Amino acid sequence: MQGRIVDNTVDEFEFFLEKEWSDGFPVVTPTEARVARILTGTSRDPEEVVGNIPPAMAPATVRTVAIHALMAGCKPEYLPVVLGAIKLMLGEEFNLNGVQGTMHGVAPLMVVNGPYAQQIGLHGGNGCFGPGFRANASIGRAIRLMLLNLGGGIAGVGSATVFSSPLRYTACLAENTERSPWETIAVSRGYQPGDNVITCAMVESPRLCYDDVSEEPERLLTGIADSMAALSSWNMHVRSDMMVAMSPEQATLCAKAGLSRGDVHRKLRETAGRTVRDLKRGGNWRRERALKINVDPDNDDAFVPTIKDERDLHLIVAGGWGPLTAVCHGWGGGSRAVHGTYVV
Amino acid sequence: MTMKVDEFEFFLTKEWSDGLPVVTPTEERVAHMLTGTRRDPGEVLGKVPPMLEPATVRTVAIHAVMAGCLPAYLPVVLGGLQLMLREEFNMNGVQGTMHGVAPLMIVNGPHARKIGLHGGNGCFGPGFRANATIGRAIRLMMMNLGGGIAGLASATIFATPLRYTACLTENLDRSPWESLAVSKGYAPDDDVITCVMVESPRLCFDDVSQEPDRLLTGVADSMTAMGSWNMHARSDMVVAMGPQHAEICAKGGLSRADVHRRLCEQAGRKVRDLKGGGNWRRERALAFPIKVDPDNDDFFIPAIKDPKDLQLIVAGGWGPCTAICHGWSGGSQAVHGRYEI
Repeated sequence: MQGRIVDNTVDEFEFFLEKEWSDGFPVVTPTEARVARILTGTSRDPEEVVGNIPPAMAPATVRTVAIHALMAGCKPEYLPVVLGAIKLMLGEEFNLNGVQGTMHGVAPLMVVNGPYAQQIGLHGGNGCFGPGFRANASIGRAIRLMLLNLGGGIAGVGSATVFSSPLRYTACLAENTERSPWETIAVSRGYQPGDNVITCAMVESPRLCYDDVSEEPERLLTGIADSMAALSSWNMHVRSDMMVAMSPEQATLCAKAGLSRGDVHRKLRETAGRTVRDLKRGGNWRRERALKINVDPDNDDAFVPTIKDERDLHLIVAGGWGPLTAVCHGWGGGSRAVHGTYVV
Repeated sequence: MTMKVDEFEFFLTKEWSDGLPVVTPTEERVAHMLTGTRRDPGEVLGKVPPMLEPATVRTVAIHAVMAGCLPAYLPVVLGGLQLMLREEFNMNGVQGTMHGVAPLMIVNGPHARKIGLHGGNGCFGPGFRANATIGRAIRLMMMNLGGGIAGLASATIFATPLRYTACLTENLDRSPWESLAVSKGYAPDDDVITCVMVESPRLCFDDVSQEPDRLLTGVADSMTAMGSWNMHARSDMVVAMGPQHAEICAKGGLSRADVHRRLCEQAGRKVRDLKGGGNWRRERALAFPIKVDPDNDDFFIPAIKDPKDLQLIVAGGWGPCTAICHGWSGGSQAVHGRYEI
């Protein structure tokens, strides 16, 4: 096991791909030496149980988490983030069990705030939803490998997902605090700027909302709110999370006009939605669904807001410079976003 | 193993990857990969913009190894890249743009089936080696040969998770219609790739509609948005209907072409609406290949300006869902063609 192939029948890469222990991409072979090294990233006992991953309920220990982090391509210093995130995701309100089995295609998107994210190079700037950034790519992938290998959330097996989502390869980013005019999402929830905090929300892949025209917040936020609504989005029909990632340019446009992060958050909640008349035309409208969210299904003029509870809208500032906002819609099965500090 | 020369770390440190581990392209592995094609390793396919590093059969094979491909996947990677280098696809523009689109490959024909390309449950997500690694091989070349790296040659604001990989086939076993390739005039036995520059999918769930009218109204709604480039420029779009949604249409008597036409007709917004937010500009509307009146607030602007721009496929597992991928503004036309096995 010196990392060099002897012949093709025992190629270590082929071994892991053939065993279906991966997402379809090559993994780092978890040799004992490499596992020992990645465990230097935490002072926790390798045998400590973090929890059981539904629906297969295989236990995640610090050691099995480390093995998957290694396979995903993580450095030892990424391990605390992976450990912190999986712990949060196992919170009951996050409903990992439901998401693993569902027909829909959402993924647990992690937003990591605080000095440690900065230290390990988690990226919140240019291209932060895409490839090229090892911390983002491998931390999110470590979570996915555990959802597949320990949880059994495999499409066609434990998962009935119709399309899945490219966000299921990996889904982890930081905010672009250097260019953000506002406090972070963690600080907006009462954490200190020096706290290391993860927020996880179950969302679809991003819908991009381009606007190189608006010069004031009113029109800009009208366009963003428009992307927050659709006849067949789960956000319209049940209480559901949503992530809105504004680029620094668009956030700055709002800030320069005097809007705080809280102001933008409130305006989006007030503006985004559709009328009952509209929702009846198509998509997943059902009378009984409307009643559950306190909407009068017989009043065609009633406005159904996308965001039913202010805690469900996760507003962050991320991405590079340019006139764009990314909107990630949520899931219908009742998952509440989770957040908390993690131990470095 | 000494940690200083760990082969995995070597490639990740060199920034020769997308941030995930690659298979080390030893001479032996590259030779094995090249058994997947009869083409001369020295043959030049073209140059990958904007850096214009040449892609030869051999360099493509190296990236296919790194991505995790089997030799049998190589013809698809070679065929996909060759198509993407056509001028009308405008890869140069996409590599540099601020927007976040990726070249989605839809592969039809017997070879796709033979190598296990997946078009069923979860086909936009992980767990399927052919899908994952073929799309990733293309991305690694766009980064390593083309230099399309965020913050360097690429000004992309958010990129997209579809840039990790973007390759699937149709769910022909459960589709009531002919494939996308057959609808374009290819024979069912032709091995065909269609490449389209699109954003990641917007999911359209509808477990209520029992007939096509209401169903297509919901789908058409997800084909528009004030901030979508499809509303403001001629632009491609992929609509992947789940087999269940397609079957509702087929049972309602609609052919694939009927659904295609209806979506082209129905998806759109009025000028009044578009002026209210997003990237509406009068001059953009005047540049459409169709005649519109930007001063008439009641004028209906369709999401699809030319029927050729809507790629309608049937994919995914059973369940009431359709996935819609919006396009890019900068003038990329979808490309399609046969590839050599």
